Amino acid sequence: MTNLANPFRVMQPFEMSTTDLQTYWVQHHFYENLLRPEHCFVYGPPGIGKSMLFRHLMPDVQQSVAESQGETFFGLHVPLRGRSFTQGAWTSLDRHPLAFPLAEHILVTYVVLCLFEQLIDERYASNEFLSDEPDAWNRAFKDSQAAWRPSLRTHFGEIEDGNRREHVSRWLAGFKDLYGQGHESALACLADSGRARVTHPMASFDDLTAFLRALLSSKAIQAKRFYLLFDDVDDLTTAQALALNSWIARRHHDTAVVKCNSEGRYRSYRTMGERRILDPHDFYEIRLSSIYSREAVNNYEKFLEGIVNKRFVHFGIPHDARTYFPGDQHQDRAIEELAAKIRSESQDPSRAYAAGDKAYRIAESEFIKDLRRRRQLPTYRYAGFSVLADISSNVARHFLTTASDMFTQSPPEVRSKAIPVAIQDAVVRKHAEELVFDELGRLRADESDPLRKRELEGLEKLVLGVGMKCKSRLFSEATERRVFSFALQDSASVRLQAILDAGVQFGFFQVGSISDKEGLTRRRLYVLTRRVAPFFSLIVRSYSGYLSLKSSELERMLDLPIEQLRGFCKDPEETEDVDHLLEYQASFAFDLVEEVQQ
Amino acid sequence: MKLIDTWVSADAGPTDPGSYNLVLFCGSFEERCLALSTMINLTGVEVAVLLTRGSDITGGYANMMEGRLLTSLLGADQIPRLIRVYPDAPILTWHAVTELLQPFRERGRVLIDITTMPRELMGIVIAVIGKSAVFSGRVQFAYVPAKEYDEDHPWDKVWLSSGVKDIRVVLGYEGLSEPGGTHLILLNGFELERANALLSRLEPTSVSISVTDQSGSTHPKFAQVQLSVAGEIARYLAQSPSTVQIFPKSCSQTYESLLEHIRTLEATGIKNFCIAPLNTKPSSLAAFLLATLRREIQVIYAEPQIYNTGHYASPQDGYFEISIS
Repeated sequence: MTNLANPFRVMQPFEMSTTDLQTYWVQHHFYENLLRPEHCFVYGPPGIGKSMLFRHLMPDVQQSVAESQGETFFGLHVPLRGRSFTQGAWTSLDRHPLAFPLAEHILVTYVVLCLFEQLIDERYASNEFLSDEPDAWNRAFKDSQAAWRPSLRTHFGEIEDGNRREHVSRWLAGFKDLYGQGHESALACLADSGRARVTHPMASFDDLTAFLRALLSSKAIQAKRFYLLFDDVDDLTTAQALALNSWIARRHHDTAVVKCNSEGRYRSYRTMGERRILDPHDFYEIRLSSIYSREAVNNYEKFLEGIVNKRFVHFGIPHDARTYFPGDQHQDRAIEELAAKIRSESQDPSRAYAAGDKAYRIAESEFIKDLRRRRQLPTYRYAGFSVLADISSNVARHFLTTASDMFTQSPPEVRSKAIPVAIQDAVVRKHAEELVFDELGRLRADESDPLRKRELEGLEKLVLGVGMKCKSRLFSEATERRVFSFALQDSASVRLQAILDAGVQFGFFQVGSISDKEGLTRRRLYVLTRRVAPFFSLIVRSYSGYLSLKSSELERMLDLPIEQLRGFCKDPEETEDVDHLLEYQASFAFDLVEEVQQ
Repeated sequence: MKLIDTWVSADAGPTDPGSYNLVLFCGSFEERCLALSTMINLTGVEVAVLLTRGSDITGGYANMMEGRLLTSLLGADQIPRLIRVYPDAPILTWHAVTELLQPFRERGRVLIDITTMPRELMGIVIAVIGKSAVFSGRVQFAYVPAKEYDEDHPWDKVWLSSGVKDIRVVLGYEGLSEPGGTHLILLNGFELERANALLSRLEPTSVSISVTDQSGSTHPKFAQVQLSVAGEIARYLAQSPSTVQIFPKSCSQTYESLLEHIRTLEATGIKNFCIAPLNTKPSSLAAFLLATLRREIQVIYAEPQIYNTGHYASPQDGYFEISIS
């Protein structure tokens, strides 16, 4: 067993074979919602599993499950990340008079190319959705061409009889040419602003709809409708987003349903006619990261446990997730003893639940405070499957990459048994530090827009500042010390809101909502990613409270020099000296700002 | 290894090179990617394959040319198989190429058009073939040389690519290198910027630059430009480089010359070699073949930021056929 392969390897969903997918797939509770035959936007930070959901909608996987779902659809993957038409000249074309028709043309030809490439890709080309009858394909191409405008029709010439491969190859050649000419037209428009003319036929969404409808009605593709899976719509230019929205607004659900996934940076929800597409009128939303109730967290933990256990079966590891990632028994016992002591000291006959509640609220905090008093805070261990699941903050990929590192850092002789507590703790602490100090820096370095760079610097300050505030609360005497989230008492400025949105986009915050005490209104709740918990020595389990902050408090964090904030967080004295921390918290912004000004 | 280069003229229409079981074409932004399909008779070919990087990655010209190449193959009564290759995922490309060649390991003749094949992809194809001695004598490569490069500019201002995005090792070195530094053999062509980027990034201990003569070049005037670029590179270097004669139109002669040059350098104590092929595809093929036989030789590739996609080169009326046995 010493040469055991790493069971936590992260695979790119669209590089996975059908068998791989069936081996590793664990259905999440929101999956069925995605199957509804309506347009949909799926939101979530990188790694949460958006592309994996789309991969599961592909025909090779669906052929084994379609019947049981009662809805047969043909999933067409349309990857958008880093594509040539989302970069370069296209990004400067948004204000050109030809921007919309060219955007529509490039999207339509690209979708058709994706369809053709999928139809001849051997992974997807042999399945029960595709007819083997040449007549069906002959009919499909003739019918669709008849529905097209004449200029486009003549571009493809006479269609001869043939089987699927012949038809697809012939049309692929024609569409590649049209698609390529679309690119050249975009360049010509930029080079000759305002005067450039397009000399090739332009494809529209009507042409695409007619084509897809013909494929369905001729039974060449044997499904009720197409699901067009637009992967990473954030990469589309504004004109392209408007073109796509215009199609969504038409609601051709009987032919094609549009499913988009986004990290939350989709450029616009307007259409080319200046209308807005709205939820739930035009589409519905699935927000994978904003569901943050206790129930949802339990669902996530069960989901993750399913993933890990399936991998263990596949790799022949005779364990389950919980025994493979054991917690620190000594620490758990010490916390339990402390809780029992608090319960016995706080007995109040008039309030039967008070003692248990108090123990639940403060036992672990008191344990950590005791470690700090004895200058043993670094001996607090982050270990155990539940703790690691919580730290991964609803993103399965975070858990897998962390577990993968733990696996490689464990001695070969223990890899088939369990990951030692000390290694679990060391890896999550290292990842937390890298996340706070390196990842945000990398994001900033990769950004060329100065405004966006400033937002990312603000985000780093906010993560450090909010983390420190949560830490202060943990070491305080407050009745509720386990906080990981905050809600604003007033509205955020445009600048602050942009930074918070960037935090949500990159997964540093997750969004929920919280009602006020009277239950009359609800406020937005920002939950700090628990991946940073080990960096700030925060408790990841059993959090329940939140900080209620004024936006000015957060604004003041943004005014602090980043180096000073970083230095403060790195200072080992600071992490041990809670009085210093509290003092610092009390005068959080003003003293340092004054210091800098002097 | 025995290499034979043969010039096949297409002046009198499509030639009949005998029946191939597999012919491999490669899509590109260059007009030259279409040339071979019009120069050879594809009747009787069992499988024609178009290696494509996919419409989603490549831009306008590449798709237009691929579309036209597909049309040309369909006109020759071939329904080509489209095989996806991945510029950013060489392992996936390796699997795709291995799977493609698998049925022809034990039988059949294979013709591979390297005219516009990206060098990294070429390295992978050579490595797959090189790993299986069973292909010996049954694989041929076709190369359509350029009649002109960048016809829009005078000779001293020709540009083919600009900038360097990345420098990567394509073949060679499975373990630690011998101490003592690396000797870079630069098979330079017209592109000075790429050559200089390689020198700056690699910081080799010593360097060889290549020179060509008119007889070895695909066109006499190309040799002049190549020599002038070699002179520029030499001026850029602190130490005088050694020179190696290469033959842009001949894989076999370049192979022999490179092998001889490396043996001479080895005699002086140099152990680590790195070849950067920037000249024609036959000379690059020689470098890749050498690296498959001598694993201590690395082949590296400098990927440009942009190519002159609109006016890179126009094809000659004929092609070189390179046979390996």
